[in-house]
Amino acid sequence: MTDDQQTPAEALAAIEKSRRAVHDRVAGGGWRYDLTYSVIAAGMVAGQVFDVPYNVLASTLGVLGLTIIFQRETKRTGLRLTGVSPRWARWVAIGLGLLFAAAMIGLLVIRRLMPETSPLLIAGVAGAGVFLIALIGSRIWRRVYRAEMRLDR
Amino acid sequence: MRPVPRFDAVIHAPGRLQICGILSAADEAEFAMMRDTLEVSDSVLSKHLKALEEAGYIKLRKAAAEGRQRTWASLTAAGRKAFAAHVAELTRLAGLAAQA
Repeated sequence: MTDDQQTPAEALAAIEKSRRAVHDRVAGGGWRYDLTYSVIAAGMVAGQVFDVPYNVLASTLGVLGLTIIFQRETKRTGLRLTGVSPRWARWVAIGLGLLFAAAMIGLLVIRRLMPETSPLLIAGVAGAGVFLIALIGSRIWRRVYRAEMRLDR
Repeated sequence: MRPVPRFDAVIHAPGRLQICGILSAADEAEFAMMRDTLEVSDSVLSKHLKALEEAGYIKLRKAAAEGRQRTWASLTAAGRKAFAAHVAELTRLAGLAAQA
């Protein structure tokens, strides 16, 4: 620890060090979290292609899965960090949420317009697309969060 | 909006500065995580947290997990504002020192 007579530069360095410690904890295991999150998001969105009760089941399992990985991450890091709390990174999370909502509505429209196409085929293509978008979005979120960790200098 | 630079003696103390640094980067941080990051004893961390809580800068929450009571801390709106103002002041002072 530094002493009471720390200079402004030393104080700023101490803050940056503590923020880096937070970042390093969040970043450790980041790929595993992002991959799991992307699989869940893909299942949730693609599941909307199917009729009741399977679409409801996909949504319920998705919310449950997201809750579980959030709780595990909180326990692992000792930090509670929601995607929408950082000032700038939140816009990436909000953007992803809007994209997923749009994809869900889009899938419902596609099902109506193409009733002869296999729901499994539509779900497969949509799931792969959402998986990629979720993974890229997660990585972008981490980059923005990392940039946000730096002090305003 | 940029915060108005303002030095804050409560936040500036070593340890408290780092606690605020941690809490500014997350919604909540657990006691053990902060203790390990700061490399201080439980009692020292408790003292810092109490000082910040009395100033109205942090909120403490107890939660049971796996049969144990855990303490979580988060910055209040006033704490977030005061910390941003303090960082702005430190940045200003560091800039002046660099120019001298």
